[in-house]
Amino acid sequence: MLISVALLGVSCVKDRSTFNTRKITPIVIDTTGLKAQLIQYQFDTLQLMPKVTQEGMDSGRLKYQWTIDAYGGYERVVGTTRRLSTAIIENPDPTPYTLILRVTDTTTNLKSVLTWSLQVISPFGQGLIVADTKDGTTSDANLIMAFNFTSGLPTDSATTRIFQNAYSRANGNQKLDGLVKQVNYMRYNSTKDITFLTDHSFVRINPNSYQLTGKDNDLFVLAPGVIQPNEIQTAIKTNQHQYIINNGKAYGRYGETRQFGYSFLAPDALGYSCQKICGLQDPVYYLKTAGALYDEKNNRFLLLPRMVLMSNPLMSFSPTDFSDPAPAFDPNNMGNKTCLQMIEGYDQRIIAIMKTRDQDQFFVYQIKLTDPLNGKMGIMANDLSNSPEIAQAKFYTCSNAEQVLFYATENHVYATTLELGSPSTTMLRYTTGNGEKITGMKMYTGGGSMYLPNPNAPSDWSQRMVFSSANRLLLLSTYNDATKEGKIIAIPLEILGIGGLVTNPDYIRTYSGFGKITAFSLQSL
Amino acid sequence: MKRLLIALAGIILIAACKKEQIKLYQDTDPSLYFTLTTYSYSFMTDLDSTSRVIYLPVKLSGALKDYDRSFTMQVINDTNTTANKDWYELKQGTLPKNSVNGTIPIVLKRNVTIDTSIIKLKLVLTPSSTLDTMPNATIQLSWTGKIIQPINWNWLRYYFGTPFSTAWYKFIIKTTGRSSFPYSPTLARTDPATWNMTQPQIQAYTLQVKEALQSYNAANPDNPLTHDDGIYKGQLVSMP
Repeated sequence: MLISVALLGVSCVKDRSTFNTRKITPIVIDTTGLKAQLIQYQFDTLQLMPKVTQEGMDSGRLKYQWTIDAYGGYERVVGTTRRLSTAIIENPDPTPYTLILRVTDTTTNLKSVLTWSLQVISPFGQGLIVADTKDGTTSDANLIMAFNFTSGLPTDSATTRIFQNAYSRANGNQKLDGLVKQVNYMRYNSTKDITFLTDHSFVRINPNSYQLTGKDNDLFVLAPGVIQPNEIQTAIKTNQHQYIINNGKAYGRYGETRQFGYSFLAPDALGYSCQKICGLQDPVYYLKTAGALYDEKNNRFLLLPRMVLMSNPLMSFSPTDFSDPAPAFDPNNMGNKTCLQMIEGYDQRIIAIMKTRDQDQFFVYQIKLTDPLNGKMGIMANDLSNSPEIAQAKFYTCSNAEQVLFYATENHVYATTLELGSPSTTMLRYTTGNGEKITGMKMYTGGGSMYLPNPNAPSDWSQRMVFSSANRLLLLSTYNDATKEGKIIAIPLEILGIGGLVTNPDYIRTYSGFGKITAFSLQSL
Repeated sequence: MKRLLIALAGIILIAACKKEQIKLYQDTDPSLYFTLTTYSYSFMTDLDSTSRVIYLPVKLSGALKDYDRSFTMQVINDTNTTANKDWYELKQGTLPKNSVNGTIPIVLKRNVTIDTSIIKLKLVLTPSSTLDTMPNATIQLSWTGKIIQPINWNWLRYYFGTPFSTAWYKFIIKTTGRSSFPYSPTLARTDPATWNMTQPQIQAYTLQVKEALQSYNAANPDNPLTHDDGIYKGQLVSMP
C-alpha cells in the first residue's frame, strides 16, 4: 500500500528532463543548378561545388566526404572538401555509379547525405591510335580525336582531344614492354579490340577502356608455340575480318570470333612462309578468295580463302595463261624476290612492292582478282629501280582513289604513278622540316574530314572545301632527335591521279607532343 | 527423522559436486582406406611409354602423427584380377606427417596383350602394427593400351573423317597431345561440363592434324599413313 502511494506521488512530479535539449540546426545541401544524373567521360575531371549551409553555425564545423560507389562493394573516396574535383578513373559501365556526398557536423555528429547517379562513358571514340616510345624500350598508346580522324566534329578549330599515355593510364601506369611496330583496330558489331605487335608479343586491349584484355597465346585457339609477330591487317569496311602473321604463318578470324584458329594450311606439299598479307577491304561475296599473301619460301603469291571459310587452306593461283593478251607477270613464280609491302590499291587491286633479294632492284606488281579465278590476274608490273631514293625507302602506301604509290625515305615523300600499261613517273611530294625524320607513313582510311583549297579560289581560306579524309589524307609520323618530339602530320591529297599532296601549309595539320612514334592506326566507331 | 533427511540431502548435494573425469577418444586403431573404389588408366595419354607409375590415393581415419608412416598393399587373386604378376610392380605407400592424405604407387607395364585388352587388378591395403585398414579397403584397377573409337566419333568424323582405326587415332593423339576431344553438340545438351570442346577448338585441332598428316605423307611417300585395323584396314588415311 505504502509503495503504491509512493509511486503515485512520484508520477505527479513535473518532468523537466528536456529543458537541457538544444535544437540542432540541420545541414542543408542546396543542389540548385546541379544535375541529379551526371554523365562523365572516363579520365575527365569531375567538378562539383554544391552550396552547403547550417544556419547560424560556423562552417568550419563541417566535414565533407565524397565517394564513388558501385554495386558489389566498390567504393573510392574522391574528395574531402566541399568542392569536388577528381579525375574519373572508374571503368566505363552501362550501369551508373553512385556519387555520394556525406556532410558531417563534427560537433554534433549530425550527418547529411546526398547522392547522384554517375554514368561513366568511354572517352575513346573514333580517332587515330598512336603508339610511341619515350625511352626506346617501352611503348604507350595515345588517341587523337580530331576533325581529321573523327566523324561528327564540325570544324578543326578547338575540337582536338589527345589522350596521352592512354594505355599506361588505364593499366596501372604499366607501359607496353618493347616497341610497338604495328597497331590495328578490329570491330564487328559490338565486338571490338585493338592489337599491338612488338617484336616478341601480341597485346590486345579493349578500345572502350584501353585496358589489357589478352596477350600472345590468349589470341589463339591453340597456342602456336612460338610467338614472333610479323604482320596484322584488318578488313574493316564490311564483313570485318582480321589477319595476322606469326612466325611466318598466316591466321584469320572473322566477325565476332575473338581468337585466331589454326594457321592457314598450304595448298600443297611445298608449304609456305610469309611476311606480308593483303585482305581486301570489301571482298566481293562471290569470289572464292578474300585476298593474297606472298610466300617467301617458294617465291609465289597465294590466295586467301573467303573470310567465312577461315579453316580452308590457302589456294594457288591458276596456272598463268600467257595467251594474248598476256598477263604482266606470273604470280606463281616471282623469281628471287622478297615482298616489302602489300596494300590494297585502286579498283581493289593488290599492290605488292618487291625487291630482288640480292640486288637493288625494286618492282611494283598489281594483282586483280577475278571471278572465276583465271590465269591472267597478274595485270601490271612496274620497275621502280631507277626511281629517286627508292633504295632508301622505308614506308609505302597508296589510296584506292588513284593509281599512285607513295614511298617515303627518312626525309622525302615521293609519289609514283601505277597506271596500267604506262611506265611509272615519280615526283617528290613532301620534304620534312629541319631535324625531322619520317618514322611512318600510311594513307588514312577511317572517318573524319579535311579541308582542301577551292579550285576556283585556291588562295581564299574562307572558300575552302570539306572532304572525307578516307583515302584522301596521307599521314606521316616524324621524330626530331634534338627536341625528342614525335608528330603526326596529316597532308591532304589535293590532286588525284598523280599523288598531288596539298602544298599550302594552311591545309596541313600537325599533332604533336608524342615520343618517337613507332606505329599508328585508325580507331573506328 | 527430519534431520536425517536433511543430512542425507546434504550428502547427496556434496557428492553431486564431485569432479567427473571425461573419457577422451583414444586413437588406438588408426585406419587407412582408398578414396576411390576403381581406377582406370589408358596408355592412350602416353603412347610412347612402356610403363607408367600411377599413385593411388588413400586417406587416414585416425590421429595425425608428426612423422611419415609407410604402408603396403597386396593383390586379391579372384576373378577381378586378370593381370599377370609381371605386368605390374607394387610399391610402398607413404602417409606424410601431419596429413590424412597419402598415396601408394604402382607401376603399370605395357605389352602386346595389354595393347589389345583391358587388364584388371584388385588390390587391398595391408594392415600393419602401426596402421590398420578399414574394412573393405580395396580398389579395382584396370589399364590398357587399347584404343577404342570414342563415343562422339559421330561428330569427330566430320573433322577427322569417317574411318576409324588404332593407327589413325594414335596419330591424332600424338599430333595434338590430347587423348580426348570432348566435342559433341548433342551430348553437350545434357552434359555441357563433360562435352565442353567448342567448334573453333575442334576446327583448330583438325587443321593441326591435317598439316601433320600432309607432312607425314610427304616425308614417307612410299609408306603413307594407312588404317591398320577395323573395316578400313589398309586404306589410306584421308581427311575431309
